[in-house]
Order: sequence, then structure tokens, then C-alpha cells
Amino acid sequence: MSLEAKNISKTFNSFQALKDVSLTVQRGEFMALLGPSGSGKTTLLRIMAGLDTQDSGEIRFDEEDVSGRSLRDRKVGFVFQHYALFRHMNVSENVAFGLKVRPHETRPSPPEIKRRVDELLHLVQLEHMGQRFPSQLSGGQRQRVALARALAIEPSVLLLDEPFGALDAKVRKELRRWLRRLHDEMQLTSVFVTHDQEEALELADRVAVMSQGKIEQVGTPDDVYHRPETAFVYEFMGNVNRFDCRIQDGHARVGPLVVAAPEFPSARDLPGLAYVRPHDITLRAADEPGLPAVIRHVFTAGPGIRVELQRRDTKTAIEADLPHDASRQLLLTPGTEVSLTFSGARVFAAG
Amino acid sequence: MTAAAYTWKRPSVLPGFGLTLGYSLVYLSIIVLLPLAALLLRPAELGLDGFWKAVTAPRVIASLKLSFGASAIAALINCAFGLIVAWVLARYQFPLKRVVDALVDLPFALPTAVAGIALTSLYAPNGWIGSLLAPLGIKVAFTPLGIVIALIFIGLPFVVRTVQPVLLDLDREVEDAAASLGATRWQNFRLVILPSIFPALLTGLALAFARAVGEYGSVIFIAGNMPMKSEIAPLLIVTKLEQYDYAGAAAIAVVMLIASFLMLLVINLLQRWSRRHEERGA
Repeated sequence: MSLEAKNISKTFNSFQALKDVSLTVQRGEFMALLGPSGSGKTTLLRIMAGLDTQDSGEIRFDEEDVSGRSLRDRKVGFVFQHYALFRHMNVSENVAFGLKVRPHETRPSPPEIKRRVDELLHLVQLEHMGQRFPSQLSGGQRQRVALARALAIEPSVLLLDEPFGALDAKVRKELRRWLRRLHDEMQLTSVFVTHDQEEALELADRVAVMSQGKIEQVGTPDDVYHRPETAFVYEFMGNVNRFDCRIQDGHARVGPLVVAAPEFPSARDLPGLAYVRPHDITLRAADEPGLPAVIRHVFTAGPGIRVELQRRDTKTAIEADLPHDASRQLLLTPGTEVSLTFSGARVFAAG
Repeated sequence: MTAAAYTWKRPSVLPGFGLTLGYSLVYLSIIVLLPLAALLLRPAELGLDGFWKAVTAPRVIASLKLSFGASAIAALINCAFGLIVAWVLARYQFPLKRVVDALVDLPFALPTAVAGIALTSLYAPNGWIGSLLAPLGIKVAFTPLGIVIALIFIGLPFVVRTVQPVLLDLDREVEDAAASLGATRWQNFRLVILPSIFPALLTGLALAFARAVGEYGSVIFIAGNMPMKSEIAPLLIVTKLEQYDYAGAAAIAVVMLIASFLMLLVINLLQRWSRRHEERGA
């Protein structure tokens, strides 16, 4: 089912958590809500589920306004960051809970419940863990139980609040791929909250980047990474260097360098900020034209070489990622004077 | 518990195992075991036959029944209403909440005789509440009902104070999860909240019960102390002592001791059973 949030606002005491936010999730889509803490992403998810109530605005499931419906009646599957398993029930009982609490008329028979539970445990690869208690499981296993429990009620929408937040890196990666597969196989409509941009980019069909109670940009992972619409998105989607500049007639000046700023064709000496990704910086010999800088540190570990530089004029720090063979053309040692050019940059108006 | 827990001594970074264990054993022996041993020896003067006669006298049986019966009823009532008080204190914000919270402890602090006098003057046929109940044919003071009320009064804090912190500690997300899975509020309470606080509730029950069985001060004022009707076992013990029947008093005491011990043991086992999912944890 499709899911729509329309002009949602929410204030906690004096803090405005959401400011007139609208978002549409298509049927079958896997949507990520990405943002730093305090950006309102979890609040939006909770309002979609009915765990919180919006001050104004509507939540629509398949065009139908469900704003007045309680959490219980919305039939969404919700997965909590800290699993929220029932500690006094074993794994099977946890998974069966949603079926057992149904009213008499719609409750499946005990053998049917058992069959469904076995099926779900098979799905989350915990077939032999049915009799264990949550305290006997690892974090990844607990989260899979929580997922099976949420799926037991055959939800039309699956909402996940930082589902991998409490897990270690390796388990997180495995579980991520597995969740994506599950989403596709079961043809779910899913929304998940995360502050980890790598996770959002890898997992989601579309990403909604949020900041300070607003959605900054909604788009495919490719869009938000390569074509950020706002300075915030540019900064949030990865390491970035920021340069003060003046914009004039579709060009911006960073020291002696000129970068294109086609968004400002008729600007007159407008203060701006130029964003350059570390891998878009090229190092040249000091006598070639470019922005003069000094190498401070060189880190050769990892897939490429990371160089920390300092601008000669403003003394600000700059980070550059170079391919491994870069050291063959240039002497990369701290103290070496170099000159920088940008192979890509994005200019935003300052302030 | 794992088998390892049964080994005598495990290596530990904390020094002084021998010293502290020795101290604990000596201390417990002097403070607890020695008086108990004396208590057990005393009725031996009567011989087995005499002991049996002393504790099966109708007056003694009646007082024991009353003591344990009234205590059990009071503890159960406290369980139900103490849970509600704890729930309100843990879950809701309201004006004067701190005052209400402090009020709960009052039965702890009040000298029991004061509580007894206050309750008696309230529930006596000419008291505020007693005079309202009298036309309905309900007599509270000087009947077993009065004893139960006094025992409820002194037992309430035990239930509230054991359940309240557990309620405060409950993870609200778990309740949200249950609701998102379709549980009604009642199902949420019965299937999710109650099992989580059940061990604490049992502890509160055990404490309230133990306190009630041993209660003397507040009860003797309101009970009327009529033999066979409203005479509690501790009072009978005191009566016997006043008549220099030390062995007879000790005999009743031994019976109370054994009965209390057995009941607490049962409650403890229940508690362990209800915590089974925690103990199996890694």
C-alpha cells in the first residue's frame, strides 16, 4: 500500500520537531529517512505508525486518511531500535503474540498459529531457536525475532526505527542485505530511519534527507549523493571541503581558482560556499597554477591515499583522497608545497 | 543457575572472601540462629506430648488460624490495591504527587500502637467510619475484620515500594510494540506488563504477609482480643508469657516460625519460577 504524510507538524513542549513535512512512499518502495539526531526522522516515523500524534496534517494509507486511527488499528509492522521483545516469552511466543491477541472471530487456530510461527522463524533463519528466551540470543538474532514478530500480523507497511543501530558493523551489513531481500520477496512497503548515510544509500530505493524538522531532499541514492539540492545534503552525504567564495556571473572564485556556478547566472559579488569532495581534488606541483597548499599528513592505509593539507592563504584545513598511484607522480611527504585544482565543485549561496 | 555457581569458592579480584564470610556467619549466628535455637529448645521442656497438647489447644488453633488467615487476606488485598497505587505513582503526573508518594511510607514510620489507636477510634461503633457502618450491620472494630484493616494499613508500603521501581523501569517501547501488534490495553496489561512485574509483586506479597503475621501493636487495639474470636497468636504468646508459661509461649512461637518459613519458602519458589526466563539468560 502507498503511504503519504501530508503537511505534518509536531511540537514537543517548545521544540518544533516537524515543520510542515510532506512525503509520499509508493507501494512496494523501500524508503529511508536519513538525518542527524534531532532532525525529526524518528518523530515522522512514529507519527506514521500512530505511536505519536501530529499537531496538524494527515497520514494517508492508500489515499485513506488514517490520522484518527490508533496504533492498534493501523496494522503496521513496527521494528524498534532496541528490539522491544517480550522478555518473559520465548521466541515462538513472541512471534505468535500478534496472532494470539486477535479477537476470537479472526484468531487462527492453535495449529495454524504454530504453522505460521514456524514459517516466520524459517524466514528469519531462526528455526531452532523457538524455545529460547530473548536474553539467550545475540543482538542480530533478537532483531530478526522482532522482525518476524512484526511480520506475523501481515502488515501492509513495515516501519523500522534505526533497526541496525544497536548492532556491530559486520552483523549490521549482513542483516541489511537480508532485509532488502526480504522486502523484495514479500513485496512490502517499508520505511526505515537511519543516521548512517552508507546504510541509506545501500538499502533504499529512495532517500529522504531530513534536517531540523524539514525534508531537505527526496530522491534516489544516486540523486542525493551526486546531485544534492542543498548545502546540508551535500555536507551530510559524505566528507566534504568547504570554501568561502564570491559568486559573479555564473562563476565562483576560490582564491585563484574559478569554479562554475551555473545556478547563479546573474549574481553580482554574492558571498557563497563552494563544496568539493575529497576525491575531486587534484594535487599538482607547486609551480603549476592552482590553489597553493602545504601537505600536513599523509595516510596511506585503506583503498586510497588520504592527504591532509593546509591552505597557504587562509590556513584552513583541506582533505583530499587520491588514488594509490598518485604517490608515483608527486612526492607526498608532510611539508611539501603543492597546488590544488578541483575536478568538481558545487556552489551554494552563503547563509 | 549454572553448575559453576555451586562451587565452593571461585577466584575473585575482590579480597577478603574468608574474612567477610566468617564475619557474616558469626553475625547471623549470634543475631538470628542463637535466639531461634533457644526458641526451639524451650518447648522441649514440655516433651513431645506436652508440646502437642499446647499447640492443639482450641484457643491456640483459633488464634493461629486468625493470624495467618487475616495476614493472607490483608496481603492479597494489598497486592491488588498496592499495585494500583504503585501504578498511579509510576505512570501519571498530578499535583501533590510527592506528598502522596510520601504518604505511602507513613505506615512504616508510624509507631504501630499509634496506628492501632487511630484506626480503632475511626472504626469503633461511635467513630467516624464505624458510626456510618454500624447501621448497615457491619462491625469493624473488635472483630476479625478490624484486624484485617489494621494489617492492610501496615502492609501497604511493602507492596507499593517493591512494585513501583519495577514499573518505572519497564520499557515503554515494549508496550508500544504490543499495541502495534494489535493488543488491547487490557491484553497489554495482562500479557506484557503483569508478567514483568509479577516477581516484584510476589516479593511485595511476601513482605506484607511476613510483616502482618508478626504485627502486634496496631492489632491489639482494634481487635478486641476476645479468645477464640479476635485473639491473634502473637497476643496469645504475650498472654502466656505474662502467666509465666514460657514453654507454652515458645511452643506457639515455634509453630508460627515453621508456618511462616514454609509460606515464605513457597513464595520464594514461585518467584524463582516466575523469573525463570531471566535466570536462563546468558
